[in-house]
Amino acid sequence: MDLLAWLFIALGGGVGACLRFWLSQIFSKAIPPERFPIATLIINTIGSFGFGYSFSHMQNPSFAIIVTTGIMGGFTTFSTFAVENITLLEQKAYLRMISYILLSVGLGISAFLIGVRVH
Amino acid sequence: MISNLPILIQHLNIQGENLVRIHLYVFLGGVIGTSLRLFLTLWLDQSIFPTGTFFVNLCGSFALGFLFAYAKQKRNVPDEIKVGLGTGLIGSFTTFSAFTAQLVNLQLPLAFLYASTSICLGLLCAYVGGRLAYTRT
Repeated sequence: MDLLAWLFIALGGGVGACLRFWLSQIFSKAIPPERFPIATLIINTIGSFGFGYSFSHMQNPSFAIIVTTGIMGGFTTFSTFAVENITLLEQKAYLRMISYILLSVGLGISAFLIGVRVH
Repeated sequence: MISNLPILIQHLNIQGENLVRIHLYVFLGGVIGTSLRLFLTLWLDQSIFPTGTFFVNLCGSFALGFLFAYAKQKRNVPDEIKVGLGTGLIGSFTTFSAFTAQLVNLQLPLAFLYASTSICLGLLCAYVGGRLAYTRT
């Protein structure tokens, strides 16, 4: 991989991170994230859709990797998902924790597949 | 103890110049985190099992668990560090979209193994990171 491609993927990650920050600020105002981490759930679902869509629709492979690995990779997050689950676990909110895990994986996979198939 | 974690994505009341500055920190964190992820996944990912993404997500979960527990203990950690390092760098270092993409493309038994180990160990890493921060402070 050449340096220029690397640079663009990295910049894409920066853009994705800003989008995530911006969206999470909006959602955390509406729903307190310690109740249910709806912001991360929505972000990870949208990002999985975007990954699937660009993965299958973009003709140019360099451009596709900038969007998938760069923007969508930076936009979605696993670490916040893990820490939020621990927060729910410590609150003994087991049902919400299981729902959060199942919804994240289920919606993520569905969104990815819809992204791949949609025209 | 970790139930006292600060609100992960707290609503920050920042305006004007500070809002631009905090986005710059998130952006820079995102650039660094994505670069590190790219490097590790190119190096480690294999077609049979996504070792790189697996490793990246576990490391990031540990780091974020540590950071937020630490930030809760030491109340004077500035927003720039919390947001730039937590939301920006560690948040972008780990990825959920590649995780779901890999799940779809793996054979069913392997996909199940990948999902369950990523989630169980990811949560464990976040927990251990948090506990470590409490014993350190």
